[in-house]
Amino acid sequence: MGAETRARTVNNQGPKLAGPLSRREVLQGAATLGLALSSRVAPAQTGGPVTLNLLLWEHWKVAEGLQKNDPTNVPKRRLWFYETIKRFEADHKDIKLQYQTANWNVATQTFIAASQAGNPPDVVGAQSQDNQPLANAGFVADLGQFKYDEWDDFNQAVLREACSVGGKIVAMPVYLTSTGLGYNKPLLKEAGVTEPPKTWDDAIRVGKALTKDTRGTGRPNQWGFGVELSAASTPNPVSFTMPMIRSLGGAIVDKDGKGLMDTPEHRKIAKLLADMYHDHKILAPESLTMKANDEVDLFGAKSWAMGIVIHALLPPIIEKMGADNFGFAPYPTFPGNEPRSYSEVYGFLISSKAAKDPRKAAAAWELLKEIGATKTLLLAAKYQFGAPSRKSVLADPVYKSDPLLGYLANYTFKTATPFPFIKEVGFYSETFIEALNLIVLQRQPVDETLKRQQARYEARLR
Amino acid sequence: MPPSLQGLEASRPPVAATLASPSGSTGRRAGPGVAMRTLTSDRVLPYFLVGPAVLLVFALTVYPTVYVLATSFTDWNLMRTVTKPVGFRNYVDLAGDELAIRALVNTVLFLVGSLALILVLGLALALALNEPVRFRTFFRSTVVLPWALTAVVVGVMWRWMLIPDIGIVNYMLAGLGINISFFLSPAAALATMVLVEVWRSTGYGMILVLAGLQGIEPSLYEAARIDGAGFWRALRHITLPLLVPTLLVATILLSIRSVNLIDIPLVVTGGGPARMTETLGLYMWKESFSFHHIGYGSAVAIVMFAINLVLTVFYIRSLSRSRR
Repeated sequence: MGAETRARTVNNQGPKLAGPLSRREVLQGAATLGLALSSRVAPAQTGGPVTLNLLLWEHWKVAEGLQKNDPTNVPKRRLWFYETIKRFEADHKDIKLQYQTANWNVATQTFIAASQAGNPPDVVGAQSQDNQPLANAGFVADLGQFKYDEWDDFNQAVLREACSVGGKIVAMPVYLTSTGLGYNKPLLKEAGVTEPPKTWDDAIRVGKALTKDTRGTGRPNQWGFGVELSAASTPNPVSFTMPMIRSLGGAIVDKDGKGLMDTPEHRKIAKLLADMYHDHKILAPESLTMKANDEVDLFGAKSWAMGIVIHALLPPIIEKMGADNFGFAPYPTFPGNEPRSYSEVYGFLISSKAAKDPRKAAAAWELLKEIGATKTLLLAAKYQFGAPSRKSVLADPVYKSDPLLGYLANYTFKTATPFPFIKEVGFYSETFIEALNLIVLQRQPVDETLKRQQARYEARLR
Repeated sequence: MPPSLQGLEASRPPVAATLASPSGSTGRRAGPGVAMRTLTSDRVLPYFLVGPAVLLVFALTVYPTVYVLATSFTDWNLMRTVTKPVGFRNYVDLAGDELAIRALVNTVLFLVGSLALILVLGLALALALNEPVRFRTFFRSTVVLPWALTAVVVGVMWRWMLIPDIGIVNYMLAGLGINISFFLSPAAALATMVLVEVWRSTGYGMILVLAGLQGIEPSLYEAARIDGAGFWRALRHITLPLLVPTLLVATILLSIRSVNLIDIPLVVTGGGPARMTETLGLYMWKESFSFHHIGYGSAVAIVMFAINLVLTVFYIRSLSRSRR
């Protein structure tokens, strides 16, 4: 029976199979199949819960915990996000959240590639320097389309400089971080230094007292000063030298968005760092080869006695060294200058595609409001030493409960400036870092090197 | 094909014929059988069998390659929505790009250094572990183990071991009064990358050479020994000449890996200091995914493809010559 049926079927369809298919028929078939498959993959959301897809940084290690509803493996300093999302999910049963992750340095590229393919995540977390290219390419939504009375409570400089493009707010800022001078308190005390240096001359003097060869190898293994200047930690060296340049009144970008490196302030900073390395011999060589976040181990192993550190790393450093052994102070300055700081502004954006779907847009906006809420900022303060992006939060007692936390919050508000928007920012960063490496490591002439690298960057702009 | 196999081939009925007519009859039948016979005939069936694989190769290899080639003639930038054709401009820029030339030189240095060391060490280990020594399987597995590790893991592991002041290697060297910065000078950093790659891939080289060694007739060594040849003469006049095809295949595979290398430099040095240890692979990666210049990055990828093609053709020709 089975054989008969098969024979009949083959017989019935025989002429069709035997006749050659035209190209049009093949294409029609392929298109029909494609449409059928795509409709299975992405069903239109017409009712029921709204599903939002979030793109998060992989190193936060929070997505898996959220999926499994288990914070056990979520690092302590990321618990603020875990708890915020859980609170949101409890309050919004009609919104389902899905997560995808990407390495921090390709997360934006992942979002761009997905946007270009027409299927971006609905909400993405990004550093402020990525906001302008994302907005200029039309990949993210203007948050001004949502009614919100609380923008006035946010740090206006952060909103204006880090979260807006062309006058439109595109990112909901969360916590801020700042950079400053970290130091090992017992080592400073041992060297007879009672307080962290305030000027670069002081820093050199203290750095000399701290630099030691404790193993007797003929090469110091405890260094008086460290700062990320390595190609392996791009673009951090730009972020970490930026406050030094700004403190001198300089800028790293002009009004047209062109990055600058051939300026008097850049020359002064480059010379200072080269002198620290060659003449004063206090700059840790690992500054030129390290990776981002190596500071945790370098401080932990007493390889760095003093150095520039981003305050997001304070929890793991303190965990290693103990709260009593680690101090944080403003950047040293040249005489007469005020300290500045680089502020990392992390924000969340809504894809322009999600913004066009009324239900998704409303759900995504609810999520962003939760992420920017006072409760979230207080959790970020508790778990990550995050400085608040809202003025009202700064007055919360939590900042008085811990002197370092209070100090950081106020220091960040007073000194921090976000990473500016720079054209071809990746190439600019690599080119400037290459210049710093050539000047510091190989002692190439400061003026000539910076001029040549500036020209190379500008050639790329053309 | 050996004569004995040729005979076997001739006597075997075609697979398709067996499938089409289990009874062994090949006579023509009317009706649905005709279509089935046509589909399963020797003329058509091979295409059906090979078709899926060919389609996969086209979809996953040929199409992306052609796409990258087409992209290399555009100014596609991930941060812009408009892409324009630019003809050969990317290639012209590449020819005058100091960083790309430096990356090419680094790639060649890396290729020559790692290839030479992997082949020499792989040969030595293969010769040693081809002998009936105790725990031979254990030693073979141990040597191959690094190849089983992801290159990124290997890179991170070595980086941590070599970091001055806090790495285990310098901790041990400090006991001898030595403290070295493995990543500070471009030459030392490049040499470190080569050593990391050699550590990882020597086991792979050994396995390839070992397979070649086991294909050599033991009677040849026996005859040589009777004629009074020692180890070195046997190595020079029997082992190495008969290993040439194996060594060339190993060379092709390792060369392609070296030219395409991204993982080790990315993880170990990040291309630093001062972009002095960037390889072509890392340069292509940075241009494409760090600076978003997909068009320019594609041009670099096509140049890498061309280098691989030239090297492979050269090696294959050498292989043909060695067989003649």
